[in-house]
Amino acid sequence: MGKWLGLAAGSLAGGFSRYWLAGAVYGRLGAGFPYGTLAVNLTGCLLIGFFDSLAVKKFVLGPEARTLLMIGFCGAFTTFSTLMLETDNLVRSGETGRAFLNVGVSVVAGFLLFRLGALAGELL
Amino acid sequence: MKIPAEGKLLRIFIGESDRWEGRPLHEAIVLRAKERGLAGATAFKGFLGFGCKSHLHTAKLLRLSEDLPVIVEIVDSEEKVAAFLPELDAMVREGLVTMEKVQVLMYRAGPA
Repeated sequence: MGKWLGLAAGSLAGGFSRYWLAGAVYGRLGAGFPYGTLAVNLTGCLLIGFFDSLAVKKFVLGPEARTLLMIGFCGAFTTFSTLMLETDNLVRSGETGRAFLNVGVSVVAGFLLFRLGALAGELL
Repeated sequence: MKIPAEGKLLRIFIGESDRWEGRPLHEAIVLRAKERGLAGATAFKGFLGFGCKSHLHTAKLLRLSEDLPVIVEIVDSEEKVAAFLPELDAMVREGLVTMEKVQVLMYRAGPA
């Protein structure tokens, strides 16, 4: 039961946080590029790296906490589907370079930030 | 029905998610215009724009695509358009309404 409640709570919090952060980022940086989606995806990678470290290296996060924080929160906070949708929109408007940039930065920076988050967890 | 050669074009700029009495505002305006016997009304959906609140809405970014611009255009005689304005005034709580002179060149319906 705890697992399902954790999943529900994490997902709800993740989804709302994504909505809020993306909106705030577009408010600051404007609508010229999918900055908001990039922000949530990169932050999510950082966070999941951190949580993963705590869970796997430090055994600090038990299974229910992992479900809440990683599967629930990080899963709902990040969005691969929106990344694809917005990349397609860039392609359709003739911005192929930026489309590649969107995917490229998301993957490369996402992975680097994951490792950074994991490192932070280890050093804690 | 005929529109006189000199008519008026009402252009109503609103948001996709604006509502009036439980239904989309653009739908309410078009249906009300039909009820009032206006010659015609058309709703267009925009994919990018900003208005009096300076919030940019764009179909290109999912988070910003929630309230895309909608324009409703209505053409009829000056009298009929003027008679419709008070009702519009009540319904459009947020948005832009413009009116311009138009020359109606053609207003035909094909054979029934």
